[in-house]
Amino acid sequence: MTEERRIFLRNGWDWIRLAATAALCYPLFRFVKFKVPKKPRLVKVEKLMKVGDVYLDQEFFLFHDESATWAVSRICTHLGCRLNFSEKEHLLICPCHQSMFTTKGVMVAGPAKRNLPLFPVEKMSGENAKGYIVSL
Amino acid sequence: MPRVILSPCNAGLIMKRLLLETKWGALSLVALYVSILSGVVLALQYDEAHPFYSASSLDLLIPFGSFWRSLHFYSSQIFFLLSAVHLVVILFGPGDRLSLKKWMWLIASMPIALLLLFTGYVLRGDATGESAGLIAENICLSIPVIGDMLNSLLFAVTEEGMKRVYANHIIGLGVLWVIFTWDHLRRYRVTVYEHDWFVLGILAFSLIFPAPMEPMKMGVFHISGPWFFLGLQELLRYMQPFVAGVMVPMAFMISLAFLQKNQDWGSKARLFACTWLILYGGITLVALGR
Repeated sequence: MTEERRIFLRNGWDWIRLAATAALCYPLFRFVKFKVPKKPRLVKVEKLMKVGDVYLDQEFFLFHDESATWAVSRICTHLGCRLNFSEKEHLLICPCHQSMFTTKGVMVAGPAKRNLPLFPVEKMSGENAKGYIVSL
Repeated sequence: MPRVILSPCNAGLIMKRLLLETKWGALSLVALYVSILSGVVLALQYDEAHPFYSASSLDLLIPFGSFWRSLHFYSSQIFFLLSAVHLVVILFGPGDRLSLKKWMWLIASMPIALLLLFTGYVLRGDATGESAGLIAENICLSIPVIGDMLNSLLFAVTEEGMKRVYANHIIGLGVLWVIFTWDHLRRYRVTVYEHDWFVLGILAFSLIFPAPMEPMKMGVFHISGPWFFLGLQELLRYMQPFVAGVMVPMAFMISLAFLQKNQDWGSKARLFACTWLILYGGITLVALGR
């Protein structure tokens, strides 16, 4: 009886140790998994755009029409390739798998399934500063 | 003197003898020696912080840069192709069979060799290289649970640029390849001077044909990945990245582990691997036709 009790207690202690280790994994996973939000990166476009102009950066397109100036991501939402702008079709096309997006980032042809993100654009005003600031 | 008549039957026999008697493994290893040496030379000038600028400087500015890059590119391709021929010939030849454990250990060197080739493509940093790196990163990230960690280990192109890809190309994957093949390679001694014509052939080829390079252009709406991943690029149009990029290649890899004749599943695995290769070849042709 005493022997059985001893075994039971020893097994119980092993289970507690296992549970404690498992419980410690939780804060570890939470800690490792968390991604610190990136600080917004400001990109200056030192050029005043005319209606219909397109500015091409490594990470975004900047468009300007009569009513607004907007920046749309150049990274395809399918697998991350860099999009190019087709003047003929007025579309953003991925060279890897030919997903297509409107200039406002709306997906019109797959395999991409999500729209492109838009970035905030601010117009620089001042004597010496002419152009736009895009927050990525 | 007996006359040798070249009939289709004889030609077949000659081809078979040529296939079985050529030392594909030794040739592959010699190509690897050339690849490593030319890689060391390239590393003296290559700068992973500016991959495309660096790779184009090799082609355009640095004396003999284009030659060394071609030599590294073609010798690496030849190394991989001859390794694959060596594998097929050994499978169908009369040689001894390895135990399942030893075979699986050895066969693991094949995806590592492919990754070595692939990271080389990515390091060019040109239109195809950059896209290939980003696609690989996204495929890695599509793997549940371990995807993030695997990407951090292998690529992390978005966060780190070419740093990790470069580290893996010049050290990590090379060391892994040696670990997997060490037991196999230490039994054979291959000397380069026995294959001097082969080395001269690679040198001449590299002098004549420059290694490919595709600069970023504004109006490019179609780019093709490396030849061995063209089929995968095509599959990614129709399937989820995890299915096309992980499960489909993994199925082939698993079949490779059971290919030997002495294994229970040998014939089924060979049938599966052949069918897979034929289908993959077909999909590659579709991709080439685009």
